[in-house]
Amino acid sequence: MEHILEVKNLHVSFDTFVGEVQAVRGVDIKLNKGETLAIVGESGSGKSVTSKSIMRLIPNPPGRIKEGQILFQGKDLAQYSERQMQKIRGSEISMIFQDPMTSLNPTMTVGKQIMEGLRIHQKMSKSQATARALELLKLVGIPNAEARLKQYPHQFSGGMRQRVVIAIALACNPKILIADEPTTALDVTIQAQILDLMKDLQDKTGTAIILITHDLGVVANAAQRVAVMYGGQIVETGTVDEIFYKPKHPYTWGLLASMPKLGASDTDLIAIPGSPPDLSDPPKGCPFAARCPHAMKVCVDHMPDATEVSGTHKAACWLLDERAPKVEKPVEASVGGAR
Amino acid sequence: MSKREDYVNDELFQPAHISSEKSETIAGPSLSFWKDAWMRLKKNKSAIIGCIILLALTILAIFGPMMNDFGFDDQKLTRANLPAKVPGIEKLGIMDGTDDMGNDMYDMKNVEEGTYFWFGTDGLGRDLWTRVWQGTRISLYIALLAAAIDMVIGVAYGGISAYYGGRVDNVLQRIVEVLVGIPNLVVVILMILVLDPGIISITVALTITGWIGMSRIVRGQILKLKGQEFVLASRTLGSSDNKIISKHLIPNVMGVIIINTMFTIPAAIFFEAFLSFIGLGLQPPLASLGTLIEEGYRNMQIFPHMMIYPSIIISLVMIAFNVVADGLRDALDPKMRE
Amino acid sequence: MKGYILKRVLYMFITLFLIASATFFLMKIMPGTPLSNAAKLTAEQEAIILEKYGLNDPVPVQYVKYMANLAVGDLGISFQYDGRNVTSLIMSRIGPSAQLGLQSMIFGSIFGILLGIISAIRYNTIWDYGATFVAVIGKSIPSFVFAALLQYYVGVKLQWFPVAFWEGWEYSVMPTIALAVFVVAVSARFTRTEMLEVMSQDFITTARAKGVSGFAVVFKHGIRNAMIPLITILGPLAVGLMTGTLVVEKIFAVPGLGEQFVRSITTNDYPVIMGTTLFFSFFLILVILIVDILYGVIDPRIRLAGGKD
Repeated sequence: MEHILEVKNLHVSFDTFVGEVQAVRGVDIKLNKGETLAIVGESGSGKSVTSKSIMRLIPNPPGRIKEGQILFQGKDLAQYSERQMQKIRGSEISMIFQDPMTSLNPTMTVGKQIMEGLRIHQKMSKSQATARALELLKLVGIPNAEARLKQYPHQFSGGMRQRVVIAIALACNPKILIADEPTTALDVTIQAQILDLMKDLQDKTGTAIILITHDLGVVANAAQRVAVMYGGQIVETGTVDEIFYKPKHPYTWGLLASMPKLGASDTDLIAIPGSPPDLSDPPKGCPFAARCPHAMKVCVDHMPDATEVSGTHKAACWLLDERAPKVEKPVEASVGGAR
Repeated sequence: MSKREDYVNDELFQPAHISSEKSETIAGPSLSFWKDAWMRLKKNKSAIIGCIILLALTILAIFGPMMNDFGFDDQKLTRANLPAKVPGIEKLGIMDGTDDMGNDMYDMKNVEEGTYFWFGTDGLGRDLWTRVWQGTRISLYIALLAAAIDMVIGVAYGGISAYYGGRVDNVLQRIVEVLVGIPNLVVVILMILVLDPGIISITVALTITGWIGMSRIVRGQILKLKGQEFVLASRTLGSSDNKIISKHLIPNVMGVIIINTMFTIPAAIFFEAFLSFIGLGLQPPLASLGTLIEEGYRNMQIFPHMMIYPSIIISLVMIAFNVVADGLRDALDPKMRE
Repeated sequence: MKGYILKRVLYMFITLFLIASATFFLMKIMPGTPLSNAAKLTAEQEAIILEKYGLNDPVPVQYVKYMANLAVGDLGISFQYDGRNVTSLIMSRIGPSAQLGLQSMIFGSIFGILLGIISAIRYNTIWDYGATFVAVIGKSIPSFVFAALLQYYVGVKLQWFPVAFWEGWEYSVMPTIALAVFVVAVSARFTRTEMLEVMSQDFITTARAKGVSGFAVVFKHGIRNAMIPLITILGPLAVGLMTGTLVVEKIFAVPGLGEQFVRSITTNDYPVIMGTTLFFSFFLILVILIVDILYGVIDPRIRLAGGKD
């Protein structure tokens, strides 16, 4: 299968007053054409930093890409100049953000904001751009699009704004769409609509999507493949089925167990004790060792390699070593709510 | 995995007992509000420089007039209008007692050899060094007094308004709304016209409407805090009113009070000097920085030194206060806390 | 909105009424009559003059008369300028003051805003420190100190511009600069803060993610949003400029309202002091009212969309 995007051994650090914070520590991602890859993890796991690094939107200083490659259609974006990146952003790779209330410019009409990318990348005339913007608004399901074009963001509801944000992102038919928690700030009913819209648009345009989320429920519905991030690293990747039904990493077990399930009582909700590692002083071994119920001595000082479970499934855990005691996924997690 | 097998031996695959408490420790020492603010202030270089300048100026304002033998109103017309002359620096070609033309005025006026007026003398032969520091002392005194009165009235008014709320607040705020429309400048000038310029009358004039800003800020802050969840949380945990006021309200309001007072002081210094400059200042022989500047301005074209030294001092005072106030605001403003 | 404006206008009139009343009674307390400055007069002449200024009436009658005249814009008669009407005196003096005020406001804010923007986009670099330094200096050094030093060094020593008086545009250069320093300082600091705030918002990232160039992000998305709150400093700026004109006009001998005011203070010309005081108050209150209404008109857009308050 052809990879449209391949991130290799990405390291991103922030220089802060407490020292260097290693937000991303050696991430590998492969994105296939037209698929949806979900990156899942709790806050501070490095998923947002990874996605912003692909767009090269990490403010520098304090942030910097320390090493690694970001291969987009074979070319390394990590080496691109700011000017070269401007040509990529919005036209080849687009991004939508978490909070639609703040991600639109309050003093610019919605139409102008959609047209901006079109005028820059496709050198459209004003009337062409207006026509396309109108088409986009209709595409993302905004009624009365002509009038809406001339309105300001505050005249839109949250869900409508996120539709506008999607329209902006899709304006130039990008090959990749990075959606950073696109539904987190929305009401549950609107969440489903937005996810459906994204899926629908993906079917029409064939855009590959990287979906960043902390919500496994969203993943089950929207993605084909999942990467689970923890402590700035990817601890497990696989297809949605593999992650939900045959997870290998104790952190993934924890994540699944902590997901609310229909028909289960409140007491069944299992939290992962402890908190994520301090990335200004990352642990030498497995980042999850301190919270892992199955931690072994080896986990503390040695980082496990990614072990192939199947052709599409990899996990970085010492439990997969043949010398490790056999530990099975706890029963609670197997109930698996989604799908 | 071949390489790894060298150092990863079987023995390592034993369950480890990692205390989860370790991961729960909070990184960095927990700092009290004031300690934290102090840490921030210490990091702000310009604020520290401002503090040092302020300290130096205060010391000079207190001890400066005693540093030579001239009194602040010792007049002697034979030594009038002398430019500055400082031992040591005079060799550099500046502050050497010569005027614009390069004539040694000390020689021309037959001033005794070895006499030095560090900032020169004024039209009546009074030593400007002594007068400038005397003036700084009075300017600072007026400003600190005015700022203190503003603070007391403002905090009381704003505090009462916010604490009692309801009708009291309503009435008090209507009064403020009317008063706040009156330009400060107008009030101060009118008051001075009525009261005859003097240290007390200038201070009173400055405080007549000066407290309004403080009262609004204090009221706003208390109202904001009253509605905040940590106060509510404290209340639900059974804290008494006194405890809430002393533990939560005062520390949080203190920040804005200090910041605001620090900005009031330079404003008061400015207004005092401003009044002097338009002829509403202290009467001779008393001098403030403002009256010295006004006097110097009248003679500036012939004897620039009379204008320049008090100007430099007032500018330094103003800059130092503003920089320190800025630094304090950055240090104390909770919004800036990470 | 309408109710709000009405309420504000009402407060404005109450405030003006209070100022007018306070000014009137303060002036009554003060020593001095139109006669203080005149030489010996016969009792007859005195009576005529007192009659002319209405000073023979009991104070309450004078008060009512004064307020009634005020309502139609009549501020009384000057003691100093032999019977000249205060209103016309003020009107004849507004021109130079307005010119100086506007010039320093326009040039000062343009320069200040530029400085603030440079500061913000070059945050924590030598540019930022330099601009911040200029702003602190400008805010700290009293206008009359700056004006006097400017007059001496640029006017007297370098002779680049005329030292004083008001006979052409070049005469307005130095007073404008002296007044503008404050405007530069205030607007630079404010712009810097606003720009830093705006540039850290999400919609800036959205614009960058669209492929908008750095320059266009700053100008099309950043500045426009940072400029709206700038309206709020117009009030303080107007106050500062008015304070400044008193001393700056005195220093450069500009025949404006400020110079007139300072002169009337030194000559105890009470009707002119009262009239100018009221005029200043009216002007400032009006500016603040307009600013508040303007902001109220634009505000919902910011409040609803701009983000957290």
